[in-house]
Amino acid sequence: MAAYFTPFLSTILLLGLLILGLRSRLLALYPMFYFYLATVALCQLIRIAIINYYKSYYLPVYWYTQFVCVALGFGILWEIYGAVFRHFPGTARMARFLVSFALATVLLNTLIQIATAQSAGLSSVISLEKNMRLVQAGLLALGIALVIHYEIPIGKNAGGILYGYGAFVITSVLLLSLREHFGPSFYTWWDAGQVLSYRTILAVWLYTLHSYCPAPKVVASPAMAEDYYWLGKTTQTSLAKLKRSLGKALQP
Amino acid sequence: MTSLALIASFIVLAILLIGGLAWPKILNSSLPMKAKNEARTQLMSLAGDLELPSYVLASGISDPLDLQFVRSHSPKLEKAFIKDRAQLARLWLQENRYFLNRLMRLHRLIARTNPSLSVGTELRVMAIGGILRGVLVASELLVLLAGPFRARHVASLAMGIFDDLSATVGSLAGTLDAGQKATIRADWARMA
Repeated sequence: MAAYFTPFLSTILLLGLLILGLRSRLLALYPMFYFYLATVALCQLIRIAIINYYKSYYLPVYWYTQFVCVALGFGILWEIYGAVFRHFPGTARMARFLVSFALATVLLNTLIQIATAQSAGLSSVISLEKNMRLVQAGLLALGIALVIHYEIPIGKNAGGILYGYGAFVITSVLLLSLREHFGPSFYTWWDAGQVLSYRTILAVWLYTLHSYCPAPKVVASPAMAEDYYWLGKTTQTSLAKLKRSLGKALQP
Repeated sequence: MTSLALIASFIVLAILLIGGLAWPKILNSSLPMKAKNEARTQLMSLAGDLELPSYVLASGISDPLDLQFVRSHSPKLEKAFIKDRAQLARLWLQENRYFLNRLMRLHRLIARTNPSLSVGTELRVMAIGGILRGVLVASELLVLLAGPFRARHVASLAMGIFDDLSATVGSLAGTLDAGQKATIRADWARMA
């Protein structure tokens, strides 16, 4: 019975996330993320059907569906950048600049590789997926660095998506690199590692996205009261400074 | 080859961007005195407790006349006197580092909510902050290796850079509206 349910476990977790998203109205806040989840669930169902009824087509179907999911991952990044930096226009401007810079670097790198006939990155599907995941990892690292540098408060929901997807992308890059390095001997471990990491991330998302949790807001007290507070504070500092100077002047 | 190409691409683009965005801002950085004073007022209105360490104190610590006086009147005390002044100079530099950290933190609070923040200004602030950090570390090394009296010129250099940095951060604060300023004050008070 347990063996029968195991292939469906990821799909069940995904459907659970989608239902919770509908209930908590997070779906309206992060439509791209939930669209990604729905697409992944659909791809999994297609793969299960193909492996049971058209086994010879499984490999091409697997890679085509895999690339659809990887491409949609860029949509999640776009959405999470928008959600995290929504109330911080200065940081959003810096993020736009840095993302453009990172993508320009990748583009220039690709052009150099094409010019020097170093097309190894495009020669295999594994390399292609790894490169796409690497770009995603770079963009996620950039987003996380900006969040830390500018001390941007992020809620449990956005944090769950950002750090969860980040962990998933890093694990994917590591597993794909190991698969490329060790070859067929690593396939069993690669498969098990992929399933395990994927289910762990789904569990993390279930925990962080089960209800609406907005980012903590700093409540500014009325401007007038603040101004009086700071006027008092500045006067206090100036008086203390004056007292120190007076003390020094009176010393024999 | 792949990583080499990636590193080369990164360096070329970084040079082009820094050259294009930050360098003209660094060249045209000198603000008029009135604008600098206004910028400082803006800064004080956001963080009244942010006080730049005194330059008079630094010039007093590393005053060569004091050393000449000690040398001529009681040469036996020279070693202890230099040691004492070096300790004071290090404390002054530590105070500067603490001030720099706080100023950069305030800048991040201003920059993140500022819709009129330009990438060039932000890169410039980051560059000046980095240079200043380097100058302070170099000064501490200089005090340790060559003594406090040889490091007195570095103190005036650091103060000049601080002045420029404070003016840039202050002028950026001047572009915020009252609501944004109130939020920054609340943030600053919460972080203190």
